[in-house]
Amino acid sequence: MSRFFREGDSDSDASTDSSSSDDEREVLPTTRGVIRRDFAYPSDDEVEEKRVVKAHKDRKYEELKMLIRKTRNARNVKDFSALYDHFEELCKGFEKMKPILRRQNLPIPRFYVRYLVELEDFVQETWKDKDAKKTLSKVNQNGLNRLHQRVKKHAEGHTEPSLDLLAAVKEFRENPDPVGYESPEEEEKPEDEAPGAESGDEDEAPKPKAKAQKDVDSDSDEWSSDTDSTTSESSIDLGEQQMEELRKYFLKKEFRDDLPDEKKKKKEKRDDKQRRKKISIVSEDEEEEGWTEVGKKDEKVVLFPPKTEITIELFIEKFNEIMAVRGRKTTNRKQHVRTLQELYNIAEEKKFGGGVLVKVLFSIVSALFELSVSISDSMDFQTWHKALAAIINLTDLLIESGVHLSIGITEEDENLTDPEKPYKVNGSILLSIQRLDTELTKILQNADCHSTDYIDKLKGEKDLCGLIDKVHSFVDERLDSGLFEKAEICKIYMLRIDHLYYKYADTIELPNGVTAHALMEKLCKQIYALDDEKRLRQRAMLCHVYFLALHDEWHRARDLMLMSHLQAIVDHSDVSTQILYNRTICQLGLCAFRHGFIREAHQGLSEIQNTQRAKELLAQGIAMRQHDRTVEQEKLERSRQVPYHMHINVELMECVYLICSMLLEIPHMASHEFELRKRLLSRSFHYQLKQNEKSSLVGPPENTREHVVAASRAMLAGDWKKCRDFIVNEKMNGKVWNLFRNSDTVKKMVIQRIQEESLRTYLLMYSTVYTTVSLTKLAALFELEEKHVHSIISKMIISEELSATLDEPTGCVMMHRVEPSRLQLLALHLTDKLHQLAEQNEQVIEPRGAGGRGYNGPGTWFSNRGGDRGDDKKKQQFQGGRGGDQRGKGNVWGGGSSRGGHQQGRRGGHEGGRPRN
Amino acid sequence: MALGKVYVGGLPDDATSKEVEDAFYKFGRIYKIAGESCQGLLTGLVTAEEERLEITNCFATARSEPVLDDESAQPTNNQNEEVKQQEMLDMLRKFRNMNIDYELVGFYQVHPFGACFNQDLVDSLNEYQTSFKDGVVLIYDPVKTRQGQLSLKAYRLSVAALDLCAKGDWSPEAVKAVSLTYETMFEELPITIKNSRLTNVMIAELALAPGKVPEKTAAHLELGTKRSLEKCVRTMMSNIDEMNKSIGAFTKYTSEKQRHDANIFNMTQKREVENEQRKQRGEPPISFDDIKRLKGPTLQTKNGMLESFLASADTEALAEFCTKVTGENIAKLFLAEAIAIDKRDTKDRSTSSVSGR
Repeated sequence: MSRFFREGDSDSDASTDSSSSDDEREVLPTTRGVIRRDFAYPSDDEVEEKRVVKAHKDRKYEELKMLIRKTRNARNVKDFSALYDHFEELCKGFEKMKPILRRQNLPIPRFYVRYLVELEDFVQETWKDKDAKKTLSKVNQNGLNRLHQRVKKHAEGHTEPSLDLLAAVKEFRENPDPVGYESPEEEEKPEDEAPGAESGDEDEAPKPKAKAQKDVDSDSDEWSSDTDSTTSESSIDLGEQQMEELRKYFLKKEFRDDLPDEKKKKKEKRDDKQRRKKISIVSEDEEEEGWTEVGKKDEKVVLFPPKTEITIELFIEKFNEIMAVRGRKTTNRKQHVRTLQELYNIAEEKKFGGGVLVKVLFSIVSALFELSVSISDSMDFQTWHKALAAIINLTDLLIESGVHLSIGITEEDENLTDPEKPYKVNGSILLSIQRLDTELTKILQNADCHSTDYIDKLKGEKDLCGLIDKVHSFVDERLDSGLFEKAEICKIYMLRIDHLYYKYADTIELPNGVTAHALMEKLCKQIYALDDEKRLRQRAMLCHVYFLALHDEWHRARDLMLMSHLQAIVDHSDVSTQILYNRTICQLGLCAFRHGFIREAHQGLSEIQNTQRAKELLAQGIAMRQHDRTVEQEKLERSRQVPYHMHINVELMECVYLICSMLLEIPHMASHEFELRKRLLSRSFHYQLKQNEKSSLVGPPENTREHVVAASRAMLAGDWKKCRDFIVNEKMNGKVWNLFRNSDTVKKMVIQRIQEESLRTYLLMYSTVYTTVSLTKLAALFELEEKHVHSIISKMIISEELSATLDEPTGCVMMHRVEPSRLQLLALHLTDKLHQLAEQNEQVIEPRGAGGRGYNGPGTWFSNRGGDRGDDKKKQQFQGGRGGDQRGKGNVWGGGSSRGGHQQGRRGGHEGGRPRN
Repeated sequence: MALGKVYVGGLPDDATSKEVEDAFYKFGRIYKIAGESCQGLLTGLVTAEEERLEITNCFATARSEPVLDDESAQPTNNQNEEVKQQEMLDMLRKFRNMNIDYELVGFYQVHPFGACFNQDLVDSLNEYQTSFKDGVVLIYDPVKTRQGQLSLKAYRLSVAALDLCAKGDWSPEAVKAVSLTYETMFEELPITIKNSRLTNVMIAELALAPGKVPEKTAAHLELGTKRSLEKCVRTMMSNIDEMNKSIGAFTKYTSEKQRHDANIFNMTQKREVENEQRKQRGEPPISFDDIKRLKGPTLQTKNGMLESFLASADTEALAEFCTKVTGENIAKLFLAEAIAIDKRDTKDRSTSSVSGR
């Protein structure tokens, strides 16, 4: 695009194409200055004036053009009523604009005049065309009539000396624009009313001018401030018409032919020019002062009047001025960043000292963060990197210069200039880093976690860790300086922990001598000591537990978990902490499993796994329930998602959970075979088992779940080898076992547990078949040591699971037969059912509150349920051999009579089907 | 050749239809062999002066074929049902022909443990009682009878229950309005068994000639009640399951109802306040119609409260059976113990007497 046109634009059209204007600055100033003088701008306080002009006049122009466009549309469809309305509006707009024009001594805008003329012609034409008129609808005819009068009047109505519309129209009619010519309204054609830089009476005149112009444009290496003076001299007072003339000229020739060519060149040279620009800023003559305005408006890179001595005061003034527009709607954010960058460069060049540098750099960081509009959208990764670089820069600067950057320092207390005293700047690098961290999380959340793109972005995390590390040591060194607030310090520790806790120690790079464990412990302890609000303390503790669990320090992890009493309070904490808690107990469960603590592992995992929405609870996936959720809620949930690299493998977890369930549940099932109402340890496991039972054709297992279920079936049949083969095989190796670091020991442990539990199951299931079994036989059958078998059986006898005695001399187990009769079992069952009924009945009378129902919160964790109570149950069953029947009845009657009466009193007893006699 | 029904008595318990066919094929083609079912129609008369219903005769209806659960057996089931219906109609027509259909007073059914209360029974009773005011059902309990106690019971629907049946409305409100409970739903009628004179004579004669009474009459002393008890408990369990379900539904209903009532109350109050304001402003009040039109919750069972009633009644019958049997068993145990001691004693005595000699 020709620079020539740009110049004109800045006058009439605010929306200029800034990208192409870089190179043209040098030429423009003169013309610019001339025109300015013509229009008698007040030359003082240029910045202010400039703003007003731009805002008012250009906005008005825009408005008018907008209206004109509308009327054109209306005219095309011959909608006269609409046309009339628009015209009215237009007149009003013009009315409003008049004072501005008058104040600024502007002529009537050419496009307006042209429009008026066109409209008048059009109306006249239609007016005369009687046939056409007849075809119009009534409304439209009406509109036409009114328009006809109005148009005439309008021109006549404005005959003030300065703004003689009639004269303008007349003049225009004498020198009309070419037919079909329309004032360009888009930014692509900003040549509208371009003020020529010369007298436009003769056609020959502009040609060389333009040529010269072009040369300057395309040949930017050659260009210097000298060329301008030649053009500027010839410029004289220009009327609108000449401008139009000129514009026509360019429209036809230059635009069509030369532009593409020129553009290409420009692209090539843009970088170069930009570099040169900087230099030119400084080296510009003082007399050219005016042009800097243009630069500043189009692009804020040019900051200071050239050749002025940039003092620190001036600099700060400028800086404040720039910062004043921060956050305004009209401020181009990118531009803002660029400007600040420029300022920084200048400050660096001039060696204004650390204070200013820090201040500016800090502003750059904030500005970079402000680039993305909404808080929920993630930042652009490039921008993020820029921000990261800026913060690293800032950190280095802080470390080097010892500038005090603190939120404790108010804006008034800032000391940017005085090198005697320590520099003080308001701000917090820690908060910026935190922001950076959240932005990275957002970026990762929005990235496709299976692409290489994700990995690329993940590399940012490493840099961030480095930065956090650096800042951490920086903060540590200045702990006593009072620069940082407690909360801030906690935050940096927390950030450190956040980036540490989910990683294996050997993958973490640390400075010599420090182990990850020691670091973690130190950080956590510092947070325990410093944090006042408990939230961070909770989080730190959870992270610590997670970290310990990850590194197989089961006992420490468990103790810490239990000491924290988090189970009780986590319900009252915020969602992200709850998610962390869920993650932690899962990790703890996995850790317990690796150590062979099956029951603990089961308890840990069942809280998450039993709910059917493990992914949701771990924030590793969004639930599919679209309904009953608003968009905001979903957004919120999305924002809570854990980035992919921190995920806990859900499939692994499920498999571990199922294996735990199998090891616990199968013997349990075997011993409670006759009970109709089963006490389920894990519902989802039973569900899987039942599904498997239901399916008509059981094929070989495919996924881990099916493997475990198949193994469970084998175990229930007492076939431990088959069970083992289902659990430990190639497929499972790939999917589960290889995911453990110490997979061999884990596998060994699992196999041993399988042997033991299979033995137990076998004894429970088939005790009726035997009268005596020799221990040797059992040991051989399950490939266990005899001693081990002995201990297992002894345990079972003690816990009264198995009614048998060990015969020491012969090494045999002798079975006793005390199973309850069928009737007794049934009676027991009936008791259960009646108990249930009684409970339900009670509910009718006294509806249970919402609190008592269902999930009792994670507080029940590790409450050692299951085991003891299960044994109780068994005792009852086995001891109750004879008495069971009676007891059952007793319950029936006791419960019946008391409750039945109660209920009759209330509800007429219509559902009291309690057997009474 | 006309279709004819031939009743064959005195068949052994385990006679199969094949054996019957073999025995009777010489008399002609056998269309169908229908085993006797323990259900049928009762005929009798109401004696006004003594205010009692005298049942004089019973006519067994054909045993229904077992209903197969299979999906593919649906046509067979339907066919069986049809045949049965036809036979019923046939029988009723014959009643008509004999001009004794006005004597129809009810029906009898067999139900182990006397747990007879189900939907069918209620429907049939309702039908009988609407057409004939004094209709009854006689329930025969084979289990108890086999244990040595003839068990016959007569029931009919109470007036309130009949009313509800006619309306078909078993909602909790309706039930409460007539204050019906599972206990008052059925009326049990006392039964007096009257033998004919001839039978009486025979019984008397039997009593006089002890030698002619068969040896094996001590069924009521049988201790082996385990199987029947087991079955009883099982049935009880399923009934209790049913009740559990109903109660669950009822709980839900009550809570919903409460919510609904509160809602209505609130809306009514609001409307009243609004109307008050409108009155002051001189505008016509808004009617309460839309509030009244709001539907309350319904009990989420098939037949409202009826199901739980039936389950309750059944459970009661079963429980009664259980207690009776177990109670008797304890008595029997004592008896057996006493006899055992007695026997030992006599043995001792005899030996001692021998030694004494």
